[in-house]
Amino acid sequence: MLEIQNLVKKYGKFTAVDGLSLTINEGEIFGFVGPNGAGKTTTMKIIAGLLSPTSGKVLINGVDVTAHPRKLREKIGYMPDFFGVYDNLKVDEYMDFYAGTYNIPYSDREAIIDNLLELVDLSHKKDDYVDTLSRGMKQRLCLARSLVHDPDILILDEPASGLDPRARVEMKEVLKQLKTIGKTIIISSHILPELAELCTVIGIIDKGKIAAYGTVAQIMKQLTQKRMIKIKTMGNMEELITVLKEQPNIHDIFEKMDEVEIEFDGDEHQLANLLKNIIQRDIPIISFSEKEGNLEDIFMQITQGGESQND
Amino acid sequence: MINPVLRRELKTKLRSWKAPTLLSVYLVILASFGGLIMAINELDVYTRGFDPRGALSIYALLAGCQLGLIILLVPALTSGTISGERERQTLDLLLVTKLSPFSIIIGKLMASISQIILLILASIPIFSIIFVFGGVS
Ligand SMILES: Nc1ncnc2c1ncn2[C@@H]1O[C@H](COP(=O)(O)OP(=O)(O)OP(=O)(O)O)[C@@H](O)[C@H]1O
Ligand SMILES: [Mg+2]
Repeated sequence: MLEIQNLVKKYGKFTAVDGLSLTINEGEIFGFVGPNGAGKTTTMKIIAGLLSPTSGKVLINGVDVTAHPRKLREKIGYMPDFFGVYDNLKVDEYMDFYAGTYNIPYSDREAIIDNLLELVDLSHKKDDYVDTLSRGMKQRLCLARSLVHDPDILILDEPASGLDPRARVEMKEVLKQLKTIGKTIIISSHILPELAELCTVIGIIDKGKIAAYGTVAQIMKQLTQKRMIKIKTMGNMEELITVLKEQPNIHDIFEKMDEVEIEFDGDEHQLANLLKNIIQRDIPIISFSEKEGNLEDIFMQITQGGESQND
Repeated sequence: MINPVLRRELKTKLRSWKAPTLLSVYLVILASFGGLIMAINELDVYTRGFDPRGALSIYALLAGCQLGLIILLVPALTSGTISGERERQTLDLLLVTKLSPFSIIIGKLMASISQIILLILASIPIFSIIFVFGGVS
């Protein structure tokens, strides 16, 4: 378990991280979202033991990171947002070098390296020089590198930046695979929708503070209160609308081209009841789904000016 | 287990174009110094005969040259190694590993020292020319 307690990081007079507290449980994928300069990289560097906080603590399984950085290094895999590679070094030698820095015995290395290159789909590049790889490949290689000592916690700072859409999907697949083997992953991004389907919990950070925290659904609910439900019927739309008008918890009804959208402010049970009621009235429903609220809008709402986040 | 930093440094250094270039330039400079010293000492066996006592001073001069060159080279070879990691943005990756800062520096230092030992070994043939004349033991 990773606990961040009241973390503060100041650069001179400027406060980059401002009293941040978080708890991330084992096996969770925590998405760290925020605009440029929000303090994501700073926080992640502190967790990785590269920066010392001005005040506050980071505890991993109850052990203070800043007090015992060496002890916790083997538990943490870190992938920075920007990184370089060495010239004149081949992919497998690159991996071998980092295996060496974690004192992994020579005899174990080949199997570990082959496995990891397989995981990030770089086996065919094993004998290439790392500086000749494309950016996306370097990114994948760096992910493999951060896993070389089999850490429990992975800290990935914008691992998907610079990747093409296909590589993003593949990166997500790799992360899901890592989740199934029980790794705790902290991943940062500027883009909320990108993390939404991957992460179990999301923290939106703005100006060094947590602006919203929870599962994607919770954050959406917290911010929008009302949910948008899309309903499609095979039959008459007018009929559907008249039925809907009699139902409770419906805030507003919008008639769209081939579907009806409603603003609903009840909970899950009330939503289930709504569907039951419509069907009991013999309306042929072919689709009843919650509109994935516009995450982009929510992100903008939370991170702009900041008036909207004060309840 | 060998220091991984040393292992990597040696591997990449010897592969780059810089290592053979440095070696060639170094040997050319040292050999031309040697030639110059011999010319100045007028070590001309055909006209004057050979004076083995002169050979000792030539040896000393050449050794002095080598010392001078190495004194110039050591800072050039060692100074940029840590800041080079920083410029190349590989330093953070190194600092999060289990390597201690001490072993990183030792690895870097030993890599530079090995390179200098390589230069010294490669210069042995130049010195052996003097031994051919005799007078030094
Ligand atoms: N070494 C430093 N010295 C001074 N200020 C710094 C330093 N590093 C970061 N900052 C400041 O701290 C703030 C947070 O930076 P940080 O890199 O953590 O943001 P971020 O959330 O990672 O942003 P991005 O999305 O652009 O990567 C920024 O305003 C930045 O200018
Ligand atoms: Mg950043």
